[in-house]
Amino acid sequence: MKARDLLVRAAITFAVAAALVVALLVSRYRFDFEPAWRYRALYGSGILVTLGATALAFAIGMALGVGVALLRLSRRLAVRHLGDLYVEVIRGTPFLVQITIAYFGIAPIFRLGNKFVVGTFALGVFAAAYMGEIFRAGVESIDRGQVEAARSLGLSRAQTLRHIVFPQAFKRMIPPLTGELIALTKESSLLFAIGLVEMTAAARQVGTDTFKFLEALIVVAAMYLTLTVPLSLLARKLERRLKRSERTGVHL
Amino acid sequence: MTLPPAPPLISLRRVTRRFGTVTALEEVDLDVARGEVVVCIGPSGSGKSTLLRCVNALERPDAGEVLLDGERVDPARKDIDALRAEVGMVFQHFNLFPHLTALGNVALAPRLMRGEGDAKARALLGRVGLLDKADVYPDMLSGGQKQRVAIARALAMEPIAMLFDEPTSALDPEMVGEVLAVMRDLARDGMTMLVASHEMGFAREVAHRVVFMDGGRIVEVGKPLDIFDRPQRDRTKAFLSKILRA
Repeated sequence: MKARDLLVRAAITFAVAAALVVALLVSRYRFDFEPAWRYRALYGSGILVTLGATALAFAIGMALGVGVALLRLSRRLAVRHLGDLYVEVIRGTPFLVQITIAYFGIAPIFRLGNKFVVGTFALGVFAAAYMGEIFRAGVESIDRGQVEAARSLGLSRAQTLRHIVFPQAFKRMIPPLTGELIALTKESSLLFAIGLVEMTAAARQVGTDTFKFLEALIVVAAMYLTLTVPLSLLARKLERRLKRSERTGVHL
Repeated sequence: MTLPPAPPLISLRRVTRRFGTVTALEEVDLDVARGEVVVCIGPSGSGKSTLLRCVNALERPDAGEVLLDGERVDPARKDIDALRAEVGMVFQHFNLFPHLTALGNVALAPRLMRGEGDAKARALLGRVGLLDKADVYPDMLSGGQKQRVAIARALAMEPIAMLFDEPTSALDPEMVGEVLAVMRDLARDGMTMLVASHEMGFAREVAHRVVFMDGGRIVEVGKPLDIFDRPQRDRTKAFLSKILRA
């Protein structure tokens, strides 16, 4: 069953790839990947910037996201509204607009000129809105009876969160958090708007320098897939394992 | 059975609890003496659960007060957590922690709050007949076993009283007996118990007093024999005839 599934997936993937190649050949475009190869060092530094910005933004998003979730889970309306406001503003505006305002509008006030620092932080602030929602949904998905049982034993609110709610919620958060990491990897391409040379900006530069735009961008697309596909497979595997563990009690 | 006169361990004074426009409890007065077993019966929605939940501050009364061994039970108290630990609670749907083993469920509270090891938790699992299931996760246990673990867990903080909120209502009929046996055993050991239940046989056999509730009020209180065989109120008669006919 499993091996057959894998075979079907491989066959379909291969067929689609072959169809693409045929389509490109029919278009009579003469591909030339040599210039892209010559610029491999630029691509390489682009990967480092993309990976660095994504990883740091994910960490910032995680920390701020917990804060956002705690705000939104508060018993006080004013505090809760503060969290709502954050999520609405960040999710309701394009990241391209946010990063532009952050770099050209806000950063100068604090005399911050480092593109990587400003860009990564802006990406983290952006991610926090989505991750906060993941955390909140995870916590809220835990049955109220769990909290009541813990409190009735005398556990404090903090002990209940730490020993009862979080361990259960965390398992449920892993798949959506992996999804968020994938989204961030791609979202980081918008950092080119403030002149940061990450993967996409590197590819565009290769295109401009060599007039081989199509090849330069095909290469970078393949690079993104190399990063995101394993994550996506991992997320799916975790999700399956999670489903199994919730059914039978095998624990992650 | 006559009880020596002693100050009540649990005392509800004109307790009222509303949910929006619904009044779940209306000016309820009830005293439970040390070592006494009181079983609350009544149709669903009559306020039995809310009454129990007020005793360990899972619900906060809108009016009136709840006293536990003379201390006022109030969610706003600074030491409410310690006060809650004095009362064990068993829920209809067990509410076991699925990420902890049976032993982990029982040992958690004493470990966190008193730094105790597993010895007592093991002894409690033995007491409910589940020592061999110590390392098993809740989803591998039957309903009856889950509820027995839940009882052991509720006993872990050495409570002075136990609350049972319809402990057998979610169980398959063949598992009711094993849970009632544990409860009977506890009652025999002199545990103060306040039970919301539909188990008339258990109430008749184990309860010192039976409380019949309807519409958030206590309609009638008395010894099991009096309530079941000589109910005074028409509402009680109607309820019992419906229950006993079924």
